[in-house]
Amino acid sequence: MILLSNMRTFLLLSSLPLASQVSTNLLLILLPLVVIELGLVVFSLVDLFRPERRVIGGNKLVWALIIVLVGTIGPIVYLLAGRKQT
Amino acid sequence: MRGFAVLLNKEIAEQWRTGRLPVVAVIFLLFGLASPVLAKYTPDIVKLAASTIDIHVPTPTIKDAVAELIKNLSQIGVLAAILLAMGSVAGEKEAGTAAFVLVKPVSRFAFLAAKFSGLAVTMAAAVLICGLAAYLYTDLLFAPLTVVGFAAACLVILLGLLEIAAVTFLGSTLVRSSIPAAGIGIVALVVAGIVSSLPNVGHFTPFGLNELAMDLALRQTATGWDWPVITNAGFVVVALAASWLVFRRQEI
Repeated sequence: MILLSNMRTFLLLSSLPLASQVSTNLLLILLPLVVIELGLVVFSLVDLFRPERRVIGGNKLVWALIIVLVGTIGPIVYLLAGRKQT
Repeated sequence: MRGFAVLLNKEIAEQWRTGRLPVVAVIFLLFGLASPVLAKYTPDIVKLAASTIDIHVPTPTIKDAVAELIKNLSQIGVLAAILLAMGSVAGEKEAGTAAFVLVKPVSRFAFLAAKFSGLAVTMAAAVLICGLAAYLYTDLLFAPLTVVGFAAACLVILLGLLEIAAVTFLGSTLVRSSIPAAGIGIVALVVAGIVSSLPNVGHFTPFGLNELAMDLALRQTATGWDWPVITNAGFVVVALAASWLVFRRQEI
């Protein structure tokens, strides 16, 4: 949690007027992290809302909230433990 | 071990098909990349966030990068180990697929061994990817680590993760549902956390291995590593043996 909130803080700060303090190299270093983290969330949501997907507990909305709101842990828990295997 | 090779192939194919292997690999990749970055730039983030307050933050070193990696793996890695192991046997018993597989000419030992081996392959692949990413980014942002020392540190971390996975796997064998199995893994984790803070015995827990991994990554050598490694490997064997004793006569 702390890890990702740090990352988000950093990205937020980088995108504001402070951006001039951030080198292109640093943004290139950060790019894979942002792509992977966003990719995990998008992939989880796409998988969740597939019509044939069944989830533990049966409530897709709750899982959507977990994926979106619980940082990186949300997609991890959903992808590894939230899906019922068909 | 009748049917082991076939079952192991099936397990690895299933880990891939169900997305567990790629998902765990991507998660570990994320933390392998993020750890050196966070170690390097956290002081800058703190300074930028609290620009009006005069805060002295020490300059980050390569030691911080390795410490960040080990800390993240002992949190997220352990969570992944529990989530992977909790349904490995219990899920199959619950869904009835274990009974279906065991009517074929395969032994129960082969069934269990293939299950845990598949889990171990997934964890090993994830730690390998995480290690490569962390090594690359640490080299880029700090300085190169010694390959042998860092590889040994990754193996020690993997052993700690497999230990938690083995205890959760035992839980998964004991019960018929994934959630109580995860509960057993979490209880084991809490107990290991408490014991790791005790003097003299702390080194013999999965968390105690973190210090050893740190020494190996930074100095390529570590003193007194033998008994902690042997003991932790012993715990894995004991947990798996207990799983076998439970499963061999269990009504599926």
